[in-house]
Amino acid sequence: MRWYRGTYVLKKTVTNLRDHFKVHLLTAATVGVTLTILGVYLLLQTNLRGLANSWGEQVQVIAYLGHGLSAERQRALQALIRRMPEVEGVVYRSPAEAMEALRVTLGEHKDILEGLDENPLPGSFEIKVKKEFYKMKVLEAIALRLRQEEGITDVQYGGAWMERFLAVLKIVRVVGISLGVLLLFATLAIISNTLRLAFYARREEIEIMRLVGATEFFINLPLRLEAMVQGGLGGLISLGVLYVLYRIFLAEFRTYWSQFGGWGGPVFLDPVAMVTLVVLGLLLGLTGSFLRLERAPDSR
Amino acid sequence: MISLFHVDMVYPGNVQALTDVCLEVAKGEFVFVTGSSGAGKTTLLKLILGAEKATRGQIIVNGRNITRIRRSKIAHFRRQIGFIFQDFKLLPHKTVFDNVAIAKEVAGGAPKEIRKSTYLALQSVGLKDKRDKKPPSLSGGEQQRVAIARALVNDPVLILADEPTGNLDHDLAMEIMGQLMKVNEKGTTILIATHDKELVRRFGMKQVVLEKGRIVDICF
Repeated sequence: MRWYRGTYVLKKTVTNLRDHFKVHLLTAATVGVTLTILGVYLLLQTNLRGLANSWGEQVQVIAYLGHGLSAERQRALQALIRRMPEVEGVVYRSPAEAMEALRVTLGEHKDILEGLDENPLPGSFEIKVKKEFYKMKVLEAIALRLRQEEGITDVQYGGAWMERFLAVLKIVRVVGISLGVLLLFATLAIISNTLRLAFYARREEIEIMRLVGATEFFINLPLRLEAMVQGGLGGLISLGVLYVLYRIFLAEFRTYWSQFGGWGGPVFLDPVAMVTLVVLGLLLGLTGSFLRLERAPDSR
Repeated sequence: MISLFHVDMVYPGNVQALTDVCLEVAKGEFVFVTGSSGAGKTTLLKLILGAEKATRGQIIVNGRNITRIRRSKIAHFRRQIGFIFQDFKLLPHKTVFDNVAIAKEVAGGAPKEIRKSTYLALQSVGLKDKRDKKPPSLSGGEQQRVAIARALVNDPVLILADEPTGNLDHDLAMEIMGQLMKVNEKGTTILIATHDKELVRRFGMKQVVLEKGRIVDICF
Protein backbone atom coordinates (compact mmCIF):
# COMPACT_ATOMS: atom_id res chain seq x y z
CA MET A 1 0.00 0.00 0.00
CA ARG A 2 1.33 3.41 -0.98
CA TRP A 3 1.88 5.91 1.84
CA TYR A 4 -1.00 8.14 0.78
CA ARG A 5 -3.35 5.16 0.80
CA GLY A 6 -2.25 4.48 4.38
CA THR A 7 -2.76 8.14 5.27
CA TYR A 8 -6.22 8.07 3.71
CA VAL A 9 -7.18 4.97 5.68
CA LEU A 10 -5.89 6.49 8.95
CA LYS A 11 -7.73 9.75 8.31
CA LYS A 12 -10.86 7.78 7.54
CA THR A 13 -10.49 5.79 10.76
CA VAL A 14 -10.05 8.92 12.88
CA THR A 15 -13.03 10.61 11.18
CA ASN A 16 -15.22 7.56 11.72
CA LEU A 17 -14.18 7.29 15.38
CA ARG A 18 -14.97 10.98 15.86
CA ASP A 19 -18.30 10.82 14.03
CA HIS A 20 -19.51 7.84 16.07
CA PHE A 21 -17.65 8.69 19.25
CA LYS A 22 -20.38 7.70 21.73
CA VAL A 23 -21.02 4.28 20.19
CA HIS A 24 -17.29 3.55 20.06
CA LEU A 25 -16.78 4.70 23.64
CA LEU A 26 -19.64 2.51 24.81
CA THR A 27 -18.13 -0.51 23.08
CA ALA A 28 -14.69 0.27 24.48
CA ALA A 29 -16.28 0.48 27.94
CA THR A 30 -17.94 -2.91 27.39
CA VAL A 31 -14.63 -4.42 26.35
CA GLY A 32 -13.15 -2.70 29.41
CA VAL A 33 -15.70 -4.37 31.72
CA THR A 34 -14.96 -7.82 30.26
CA LEU A 35 -11.23 -7.34 30.52
CA THR A 36 -11.61 -5.95 34.06
CA ILE A 37 -13.37 -9.15 35.09
CA LEU A 38 -10.61 -11.16 33.42
CA GLY A 39 -8.06 -8.91 35.12
CA VAL A 40 -9.66 -9.48 38.54
CA TYR A 41 -9.36 -13.19 37.88
CA LEU A 42 -5.70 -12.75 36.88
CA LEU A 43 -5.03 -10.70 40.02
CA LEU A 44 -6.75 -13.32 42.16
CA GLN A 45 -4.80 -16.10 40.50
CA THR A 46 -1.46 -14.29 40.82
CA ASN A 47 -1.98 -13.43 44.46
CA LEU A 48 -3.40 -16.80 45.50
CA ARG A 49 -0.39 -18.42 43.88
CA GLY A 50 1.87 -16.00 45.73
CA LEU A 51 0.11 -16.87 48.97
CA ALA A 52 0.43 -20.59 48.22
CA ASN A 53 4.14 -20.18 47.54
CA SER A 54 4.74 -18.31 50.76
CA TRP A 55 2.77 -20.90 52.72
CA GLY A 56 4.55 -23.63 50.84
CA GLU A 57 7.75 -22.42 52.46
CA GLN A 58 6.27 -23.57 55.73
CA VAL A 59 5.17 -27.05 54.70
CA GLN A 60 7.30 -29.34 56.74
CA VAL A 61 7.35 -32.66 58.49
CA ILE A 62 8.49 -32.71 62.11
CA ALA A 63 9.97 -35.91 63.47
CA TYR A 64 10.20 -35.94 67.30
CA LEU A 65 13.07 -37.84 68.87
CA GLY A 66 13.09 -39.92 72.02
CA HIS A 67 14.86 -38.61 75.12
CA GLY A 68 18.41 -39.75 75.57
CA LEU A 69 19.05 -40.53 71.93
CA SER A 70 22.74 -40.95 71.21
CA ALA A 71 24.47 -38.35 69.06
CA GLU A 72 25.56 -41.12 66.73
CA ARG A 73 21.99 -42.33 66.16
CA GLN A 74 20.85 -38.75 65.74
CA ARG A 75 23.45 -38.17 62.98
CA ALA A 76 22.47 -41.47 61.31
CA LEU A 77 18.81 -40.50 61.30
CA GLN A 78 19.63 -37.05 59.91
CA ALA A 79 21.68 -38.61 57.10
CA LEU A 80 18.88 -41.10 56.38
CA ILE A 81 16.29 -38.33 56.13
CA ARG A 82 18.54 -36.17 53.93
CA ARG A 83 18.89 -39.05 51.46
CA MET A 84 15.11 -39.37 51.00
CA PRO A 85 14.24 -38.17 47.45
CA GLU A 86 11.24 -36.11 48.64
CA VAL A 87 13.31 -34.13 51.12
CA GLU A 88 14.76 -30.74 50.29
CA GLY A 89 16.46 -30.16 53.63
CA VAL A 90 16.52 -31.21 57.26
CA VAL A 91 17.40 -29.21 60.36
CA TYR A 92 17.95 -30.58 63.84
CA ARG A 93 16.32 -28.64 66.64
CA SER A 94 17.60 -29.46 70.12
CA PRO A 95 15.31 -29.58 73.21
CA ALA A 96 16.88 -26.28 74.38
CA GLU A 97 16.10 -24.58 71.07
CA ALA A 98 12.56 -25.97 71.18
CA MET A 99 12.13 -24.51 74.68
CA GLU A 100 13.45 -21.13 73.52
CA ALA A 101 11.05 -21.15 70.57
CA LEU A 102 8.19 -21.96 72.94
CA ARG A 103 9.16 -19.05 75.17
CA VAL A 104 9.08 -16.70 72.21
CA THR A 105 5.70 -18.06 71.14
CA LEU A 106 4.24 -17.67 74.63
CA GLY A 107 5.46 -14.11 74.80
CA GLU A 108 4.19 -12.42 77.97
CA HIS A 109 2.86 -15.75 79.27
CA LYS A 110 6.28 -17.38 79.25
CA ASP A 111 6.26 -17.34 83.08
CA ILE A 112 4.26 -20.56 83.11
CA LEU A 113 7.46 -22.36 82.05
CA GLU A 114 9.33 -21.16 85.17
CA GLY A 115 8.08 -24.01 87.35
CA LEU A 116 9.55 -26.77 85.21
CA ASP A 117 12.47 -28.69 86.78
CA GLU A 118 13.71 -30.06 83.51
CA ASN A 119 13.07 -29.45 79.81
CA PRO A 120 10.24 -31.84 78.80
CA LEU A 121 10.47 -30.97 75.12
CA PRO A 122 12.06 -33.52 72.81
CA GLY A 123 14.63 -32.85 70.15
CA SER A 124 13.27 -32.91 66.62
CA PHE A 125 14.07 -32.85 62.91
CA GLU A 126 12.34 -30.17 60.87
CA ILE A 127 12.12 -31.68 57.41
CA LYS A 128 11.41 -29.48 54.39
CA VAL A 129 9.71 -31.34 51.55
CA LYS A 130 10.31 -30.51 47.89
CA LYS A 131 7.43 -28.50 46.33
CA GLU A 132 6.50 -31.18 43.83
CA PHE A 133 5.78 -33.54 46.74
CA TYR A 134 3.15 -31.32 48.42
CA LYS A 135 0.65 -34.15 48.42
CA MET A 136 -1.06 -35.80 51.30
CA LYS A 137 -0.10 -39.30 50.16
CA VAL A 138 3.58 -38.40 49.95
CA LEU A 139 3.58 -36.70 53.34
CA GLU A 140 1.78 -39.70 54.87
CA ALA A 141 4.31 -42.10 53.32
CA ILE A 142 7.23 -40.08 54.70
CA ALA A 143 5.61 -40.03 58.16
CA LEU A 144 4.95 -43.78 58.07
CA ARG A 145 8.49 -44.57 57.06
CA LEU A 146 10.03 -42.33 59.76
CA ARG A 147 7.80 -43.73 62.50
CA GLN A 148 9.36 -47.13 61.89
CA GLU A 149 12.85 -45.80 62.59
CA GLU A 150 14.28 -46.44 66.02
CA GLY A 151 14.62 -43.25 68.05
CA ILE A 152 11.73 -41.42 66.39
CA THR A 153 8.71 -41.26 68.69
CA ASP A 154 6.25 -39.22 66.67
CA VAL A 155 5.91 -37.57 63.28
CA GLN A 156 3.65 -34.59 62.48
CA TYR A 157 2.95 -32.88 59.19
CA GLY A 158 0.73 -29.94 58.35
CA GLY A 159 0.22 -30.35 54.65
CA ALA A 160 -3.44 -31.33 54.55
CA TRP A 161 -4.61 -27.72 54.41
CA MET A 162 -2.06 -26.98 51.71
CA GLU A 163 -3.45 -29.69 49.48
CA ARG A 164 -6.96 -28.33 50.00
CA PHE A 165 -5.72 -24.84 49.22
CA LEU A 166 -4.10 -26.02 45.99
CA ALA A 167 -7.35 -27.78 45.09
CA VAL A 168 -9.22 -24.50 45.63
CA LEU A 169 -6.65 -22.74 43.45
CA LYS A 170 -7.29 -25.30 40.73
CA ILE A 171 -11.05 -24.69 40.93
CA VAL A 172 -10.46 -20.93 40.77
CA ARG A 173 -8.37 -21.48 37.63
CA VAL A 174 -11.00 -23.67 35.91
CA VAL A 175 -13.88 -21.36 36.85
CA GLY A 176 -11.82 -18.33 35.79
CA ILE A 177 -10.94 -19.78 32.39
CA SER A 178 -14.55 -20.90 31.73
CA LEU A 179 -15.90 -17.51 32.77
CA GLY A 180 -13.21 -15.81 30.71
CA VAL A 181 -14.07 -17.75 27.56
CA LEU A 182 -17.79 -16.99 27.98
CA LEU A 183 -17.06 -13.31 28.51
CA LEU A 184 -14.77 -13.20 25.49
CA PHE A 185 -17.52 -14.60 23.28
CA ALA A 186 -20.03 -12.14 24.70
CA THR A 187 -17.62 -9.28 24.03
CA LEU A 188 -16.97 -10.49 20.50
CA ALA A 189 -20.71 -10.42 19.87
CA ILE A 190 -20.94 -6.88 21.27
CA ILE A 191 -18.02 -5.60 19.17
CA SER A 192 -19.38 -7.30 16.10
CA ASN A 193 -22.80 -5.69 16.64
CA THR A 194 -21.29 -2.25 17.23
CA LEU A 195 -19.47 -2.52 13.93
CA ARG A 196 -22.67 -3.68 12.30
CA LEU A 197 -24.30 -0.46 13.54
CA ALA A 198 -21.33 1.56 12.29
CA PHE A 199 -21.58 -0.27 8.98
CA TYR A 200 -25.29 0.45 8.58
CA ALA A 201 -24.74 4.08 9.55
CA ARG A 202 -22.29 4.27 6.66
CA ARG A 203 -23.98 1.87 4.26
CA GLU A 204 -24.72 4.63 1.75
CA GLU A 205 -21.08 5.69 1.65
CA ILE A 206 -19.91 2.08 1.46
CA GLU A 207 -22.34 1.38 -1.38
CA ILE A 208 -20.99 4.38 -3.27
CA MET A 209 -17.41 3.33 -2.57
CA ARG A 210 -18.14 -0.13 -3.96
CA LEU A 211 -19.77 1.28 -7.07
CA VAL A 212 -16.86 3.59 -7.82
CA GLY A 213 -14.39 0.74 -7.48
CA ALA A 214 -13.24 0.47 -3.86
CA THR A 215 -11.88 -2.95 -2.94
CA GLU A 216 -13.37 -4.75 0.06
CA PHE A 217 -9.97 -4.47 1.75
CA PHE A 218 -9.98 -0.70 1.32
CA ILE A 219 -13.55 -0.46 2.66
CA ASN A 220 -12.97 -2.81 5.58
CA LEU A 221 -9.54 -1.64 6.75
CA PRO A 222 -10.78 1.52 8.55
CA LEU A 223 -13.54 -0.55 10.20
CA ARG A 224 -11.00 -3.10 11.39
CA LEU A 225 -8.75 -0.35 12.73
CA GLU A 226 -11.72 1.20 14.54
CA ALA A 227 -12.47 -2.15 16.14
CA MET A 228 -8.85 -2.51 17.24
CA VAL A 229 -8.87 0.99 18.72
CA GLN A 230 -12.05 0.10 20.61
CA GLY A 231 -10.48 -3.11 21.90
CA GLY A 232 -7.17 -1.49 22.85
CA LEU A 233 -8.98 1.36 24.57
CA GLY A 234 -11.07 -1.24 26.41
CA GLY A 235 -7.81 -2.87 27.58
CA LEU A 236 -6.49 0.46 28.87
CA ILE A 237 -9.80 1.20 30.62
CA SER A 238 -9.65 -2.20 32.32
CA LEU A 239 -6.07 -1.57 33.50
CA GLY A 240 -7.14 1.77 34.98
CA VAL A 241 -10.15 0.27 36.74
CA LEU A 242 -8.10 -2.67 38.02
CA TYR A 243 -5.44 -0.37 39.43
CA VAL A 244 -8.05 1.74 41.23
CA LEU A 245 -9.68 -1.42 42.63
CA TYR A 246 -6.26 -2.70 43.70
CA ARG A 247 -5.42 0.56 45.52
CA ILE A 248 -8.81 0.52 47.27
CA PHE A 249 -8.25 -3.09 48.32
CA LEU A 250 -4.77 -2.22 49.64
CA ALA A 251 -6.11 0.69 51.65
CA GLU A 252 -9.04 -1.27 53.09
CA PHE A 253 -7.27 -4.48 54.04
CA ARG A 254 -3.76 -3.25 54.80
CA THR A 255 -3.69 -4.80 58.28
CA TYR A 256 -4.95 -8.24 57.33
CA TRP A 257 -2.24 -9.90 55.34
CA SER A 258 0.39 -9.67 58.08
CA GLN A 259 -1.53 -12.61 59.52
CA PHE A 260 -0.77 -14.71 56.47
CA GLY A 261 2.72 -15.46 57.76
CA GLY A 262 5.46 -14.72 55.27
CA TRP A 263 3.19 -13.21 52.60
CA GLY A 264 4.18 -9.70 51.59
CA GLY A 265 0.63 -8.71 50.61
CA PRO A 266 -1.22 -8.42 47.30
CA VAL A 267 0.71 -7.40 44.20
CA PHE A 268 -0.61 -5.75 41.00
CA LEU A 269 -0.38 -7.40 37.60
CA ASP A 270 3.14 -7.69 36.23
CA PRO A 271 4.02 -5.77 33.02
CA VAL A 272 3.58 -8.88 30.86
CA ALA A 273 0.03 -9.40 32.17
CA MET A 274 -0.76 -5.71 31.63
CA VAL A 275 0.46 -5.79 28.04
CA THR A 276 -1.43 -9.07 27.56
CA LEU A 277 -4.70 -7.43 28.62
CA VAL A 278 -4.28 -4.56 26.14
CA VAL A 279 -3.20 -6.93 23.34
CA LEU A 280 -6.19 -9.14 24.18
CA GLY A 281 -8.38 -6.05 23.75
CA LEU A 282 -6.83 -5.34 20.34
CA LEU A 283 -7.30 -8.95 19.28
CA LEU A 284 -10.89 -8.95 20.54
CA GLY A 285 -11.55 -5.90 18.40
CA LEU A 286 -9.91 -7.40 15.36
CA THR A 287 -11.70 -10.75 15.74
CA GLY A 288 -15.02 -8.96 16.29
CA SER A 289 -14.44 -6.98 13.11
CA PHE A 290 -13.87 -10.18 11.15
CA LEU A 291 -17.06 -11.71 12.55
CA ARG A 292 -19.00 -8.64 11.44
CA LEU A 293 -17.30 -7.85 8.19
CA GLU A 294 -17.20 -11.34 6.78
CA ARG A 295 -20.98 -11.32 6.93
CA ALA A 296 -21.29 -7.88 5.38
CA PRO A 297 -23.85 -7.76 2.64
CA ASP A 298 -22.38 -7.36 -0.81
CA SER A 299 -24.09 -6.38 -3.95
CA ARG A 300 -22.50 -9.25 -5.82
CA MET B 1 -17.25 -1.65 -26.06
CA ILE B 2 -20.18 -3.70 -24.71
CA SER B 3 -21.33 -7.13 -25.93
CA LEU B 4 -24.07 -9.18 -24.34
CA PHE B 5 -24.68 -12.75 -25.55
CA HIS B 6 -27.94 -14.47 -24.60
CA VAL B 7 -28.01 -12.98 -21.12
CA ASP B 8 -30.63 -14.09 -18.61
CA MET B 9 -31.07 -12.61 -15.17
CA VAL B 10 -33.28 -14.29 -12.61
CA TYR B 11 -33.52 -12.80 -9.13
CA PRO B 12 -34.20 -14.92 -6.04
CA GLY B 13 -37.85 -15.90 -5.89
CA ASN B 14 -37.70 -16.84 -9.58
CA VAL B 15 -38.19 -13.23 -10.72
CA GLN B 16 -37.17 -13.14 -14.37
CA ALA B 17 -35.63 -9.68 -14.96
CA LEU B 18 -33.93 -10.25 -18.32
CA THR B 19 -34.44 -12.97 -20.93
CA ASP B 20 -32.06 -13.84 -23.74
CA VAL B 21 -30.65 -10.33 -24.12
CA CYS B 22 -28.16 -9.84 -26.96
CA LEU B 23 -26.67 -6.39 -27.46
CA GLU B 24 -23.70 -4.67 -29.07
CA VAL B 25 -22.60 -1.15 -28.17
CA ALA B 26 -19.61 0.26 -30.04
CA LYS B 27 -16.92 2.46 -28.54
CA GLY B 28 -18.01 6.12 -28.44
CA GLU B 29 -21.71 5.38 -28.98
CA PHE B 30 -24.50 7.20 -27.14
CA VAL B 31 -27.31 4.75 -26.44
CA PHE B 32 -30.67 5.09 -24.72
CA VAL B 33 -32.10 2.00 -23.03
CA THR B 34 -35.83 2.60 -22.84
CA GLY B 35 -38.85 0.78 -21.53
CA SER B 36 -41.50 1.09 -18.87
CA SER B 37 -40.86 0.50 -15.15
CA GLY B 38 -39.87 -3.10 -14.51
CA ALA B 39 -38.74 -3.67 -18.10
CA GLY B 40 -35.21 -4.53 -16.90
CA LYS B 41 -33.31 -1.30 -17.68
CA THR B 42 -31.65 -0.97 -14.26
CA THR B 43 -30.82 -4.68 -14.17
CA LEU B 44 -29.11 -4.37 -17.55
CA LEU B 45 -26.97 -1.48 -16.30
CA LYS B 46 -26.12 -3.32 -13.06
CA LEU B 47 -25.00 -6.37 -15.04
CA ILE B 48 -22.72 -4.22 -17.20
CA LEU B 49 -21.28 -2.57 -14.07
CA GLY B 50 -20.69 -5.97 -12.47
CA ALA B 51 -23.00 -5.14 -9.57
CA GLU B 52 -25.10 -8.22 -10.36
CA LYS B 53 -24.05 -11.56 -11.80
CA ALA B 54 -25.94 -12.83 -14.83
CA THR B 55 -27.74 -16.14 -14.40
CA ARG B 56 -26.85 -17.15 -17.97
CA GLY B 57 -24.92 -15.74 -20.92
CA GLN B 58 -21.73 -13.75 -21.41
CA ILE B 59 -21.07 -10.04 -20.97
CA ILE B 60 -17.93 -8.46 -22.43
CA VAL B 61 -17.15 -4.88 -21.38
CA ASN B 62 -14.07 -3.12 -22.71
CA GLY B 63 -12.52 -6.45 -23.60
CA ARG B 64 -13.24 -8.19 -20.29
CA ASN B 65 -15.71 -10.98 -19.76
CA ILE B 66 -17.29 -9.82 -16.54
CA THR B 67 -19.32 -12.98 -16.05
CA ARG B 68 -16.01 -14.73 -15.44
CA ILE B 69 -14.15 -11.96 -13.68
CA ARG B 70 -12.92 -12.78 -10.16
CA ARG B 71 -14.77 -11.01 -7.35
CA SER B 72 -11.53 -9.40 -6.20
CA LYS B 73 -11.03 -7.87 -9.68
CA ILE B 74 -14.51 -6.35 -9.92
CA ALA B 75 -13.44 -3.24 -7.99
CA HIS B 76 -10.58 -2.54 -10.40
CA PHE B 77 -12.90 -3.13 -13.36
CA ARG B 78 -15.46 -0.60 -12.03
CA ARG B 79 -12.85 2.16 -11.99
CA GLN B 80 -13.09 2.35 -15.79
CA ILE B 81 -16.81 3.01 -15.56
CA GLY B 82 -18.70 6.05 -14.34
CA PHE B 83 -22.16 5.50 -12.88
CA ILE B 84 -24.89 8.15 -12.52
CA PHE B 85 -28.06 7.54 -10.52
CA GLN B 86 -31.51 9.06 -10.59
CA ASP B 87 -31.25 9.94 -6.89
CA PHE B 88 -27.68 11.29 -7.34
CA LYS B 89 -26.26 9.14 -4.51
CA LEU B 90 -24.22 11.95 -2.98
CA LEU B 91 -23.06 11.99 0.61
CA PRO B 92 -24.90 14.90 2.24
CA HIS B 93 -22.36 15.48 5.04
CA LYS B 94 -19.42 15.74 2.64
CA THR B 95 -18.52 18.70 0.46
CA VAL B 96 -19.01 18.70 -3.30
CA PHE B 97 -15.24 18.33 -3.67
CA ASP B 98 -15.11 15.30 -1.34
CA ASN B 99 -18.08 13.69 -3.11
CA VAL B 100 -16.22 13.84 -6.39
CA ALA B 101 -12.79 13.02 -4.94
CA ILE B 102 -14.03 9.77 -3.35
CA ALA B 103 -13.98 8.00 -6.74
CA LYS B 104 -10.37 9.04 -7.27
CA GLU B 105 -9.38 8.19 -3.69
CA VAL B 106 -10.63 4.62 -3.90
CA ALA B 107 -8.77 4.24 -7.18
CA GLY B 108 -5.57 5.04 -5.29
CA GLY B 109 -4.50 8.39 -6.66
CA ALA B 110 -1.82 10.50 -4.99
CA PRO B 111 -3.21 13.53 -3.06
CA LYS B 112 -1.96 16.04 -5.65
CA GLU B 113 -3.39 14.01 -8.51
CA ILE B 114 -6.73 13.64 -6.68
CA ARG B 115 -6.96 17.41 -6.15
CA LYS B 116 -6.13 18.15 -9.77
CA SER B 117 -8.52 15.58 -11.30
CA THR B 118 -11.35 16.57 -8.94
CA TYR B 119 -10.88 20.25 -9.74
CA LEU B 120 -10.89 19.54 -13.51
CA ALA B 121 -13.99 17.32 -13.24
CA LEU B 122 -15.84 20.03 -11.30
CA GLN B 123 -14.69 22.64 -13.82
CA SER B 124 -16.02 20.54 -16.69
CA VAL B 125 -19.52 20.54 -15.18
CA GLY B 126 -19.28 24.23 -14.18
CA LEU B 127 -19.24 23.67 -10.43
CA LYS B 128 -15.67 24.55 -9.41
CA ASP B 129 -16.96 27.55 -7.42
CA LYS B 130 -19.28 25.34 -5.38
CA ARG B 131 -16.67 22.80 -4.37
CA ASP B 132 -16.93 23.63 -0.66
CA LYS B 133 -20.73 23.46 -0.52
CA LYS B 134 -22.63 20.48 0.81
CA PRO B 135 -25.04 18.73 -1.61
CA PRO B 136 -28.26 19.63 0.26
CA SER B 137 -27.54 23.32 -0.40
CA LEU B 138 -27.45 22.73 -4.19
CA SER B 139 -30.31 22.51 -6.68
CA GLY B 140 -31.29 19.12 -8.16
CA GLY B 141 -29.53 19.94 -11.43
CA GLU B 142 -26.37 20.96 -9.61
CA GLN B 143 -26.44 17.77 -7.54
CA GLN B 144 -26.71 15.69 -10.68
CA ARG B 145 -23.80 17.63 -12.17
CA VAL B 146 -21.77 16.74 -9.08
CA ALA B 147 -22.66 13.10 -9.75
CA ILE B 148 -21.52 13.53 -13.37
CA ALA B 149 -18.25 15.05 -12.16
CA ARG B 150 -17.79 12.02 -9.88
CA ALA B 151 -18.43 9.70 -12.83
CA LEU B 152 -15.89 11.62 -14.91
CA VAL B 153 -13.08 11.99 -12.41
CA ASN B 154 -11.40 8.68 -13.28
CA ASP B 155 -11.58 9.38 -17.05
CA PRO B 156 -13.93 6.44 -17.66
CA VAL B 157 -14.27 4.64 -20.98
CA LEU B 158 -17.96 4.12 -20.30
CA ILE B 159 -20.65 6.01 -18.40
CA LEU B 160 -23.80 4.25 -17.28
CA ALA B 161 -26.64 6.53 -16.24
CA ASP B 162 -29.82 5.21 -14.65
CA GLU B 163 -32.66 7.72 -15.15
CA PRO B 164 -30.24 10.65 -14.70
CA THR B 165 -32.97 13.21 -15.40
CA GLY B 166 -35.75 11.37 -13.57
CA ASN B 167 -35.80 13.80 -10.63
CA LEU B 168 -35.28 16.98 -12.66
CA ASP B 169 -37.60 19.37 -14.43
CA HIS B 170 -37.43 19.77 -18.22
CA ASP B 171 -34.85 22.58 -18.35
CA LEU B 172 -32.52 20.90 -15.89
CA ALA B 173 -32.94 17.60 -17.73
CA MET B 174 -31.83 19.31 -20.94
CA GLU B 175 -28.85 20.82 -19.12
CA ILE B 176 -27.75 17.41 -17.81
CA MET B 177 -28.20 15.81 -21.22
CA GLY B 178 -26.09 18.60 -22.67
CA GLN B 179 -23.34 17.76 -20.19
CA LEU B 180 -23.48 14.08 -21.14
CA MET B 181 -23.39 14.91 -24.85
CA LYS B 182 -20.23 16.96 -24.24
CA VAL B 183 -18.65 13.99 -22.47
CA ASN B 184 -19.68 11.70 -25.33
CA GLU B 185 -18.11 14.05 -27.88
CA LYS B 186 -14.76 13.40 -26.22
CA GLY B 187 -15.12 9.68 -27.02
CA THR B 188 -16.67 8.25 -23.87
CA THR B 189 -19.33 5.61 -24.51
CA ILE B 190 -22.61 6.47 -22.80
CA LEU B 191 -25.54 4.22 -21.94
CA ILE B 192 -28.59 5.92 -20.46
CA ALA B 193 -31.57 4.08 -19.05
CA THR B 194 -34.73 6.18 -19.21
CA HIS B 195 -38.47 5.88 -19.58
CA ASP B 196 -38.69 9.50 -20.81
CA LYS B 197 -39.76 9.09 -24.46
CA GLU B 198 -39.67 12.86 -25.04
CA LEU B 199 -36.02 12.98 -24.01
CA VAL B 200 -35.14 10.14 -26.37
CA ARG B 201 -37.09 11.68 -29.23
CA ARG B 202 -35.43 15.07 -28.76
CA PHE B 203 -31.87 13.70 -28.81
CA GLY B 204 -32.52 11.02 -31.44
CA MET B 205 -29.70 8.65 -30.54
CA LYS B 206 -29.55 4.85 -30.79
CA GLN B 207 -32.34 3.33 -28.74
CA VAL B 208 -32.61 -0.14 -27.23
CA VAL B 209 -36.22 -0.88 -26.26
CA LEU B 210 -36.81 -3.34 -23.43
CA GLU B 211 -40.15 -4.93 -22.61
CA LYS B 212 -40.65 -7.45 -19.84
CA GLY B 213 -36.93 -8.23 -19.81
CA ARG B 214 -36.55 -8.77 -23.55
CA ILE B 215 -35.09 -6.47 -26.21
CA VAL B 216 -38.00 -5.86 -28.54
CA ASP B 217 -36.47 -3.20 -30.77
CA ILE B 218 -33.19 -1.43 -31.53
CA CYS B 219 -33.70 1.76 -33.50
CA PHE B 220 -31.49 4.62 -34.67
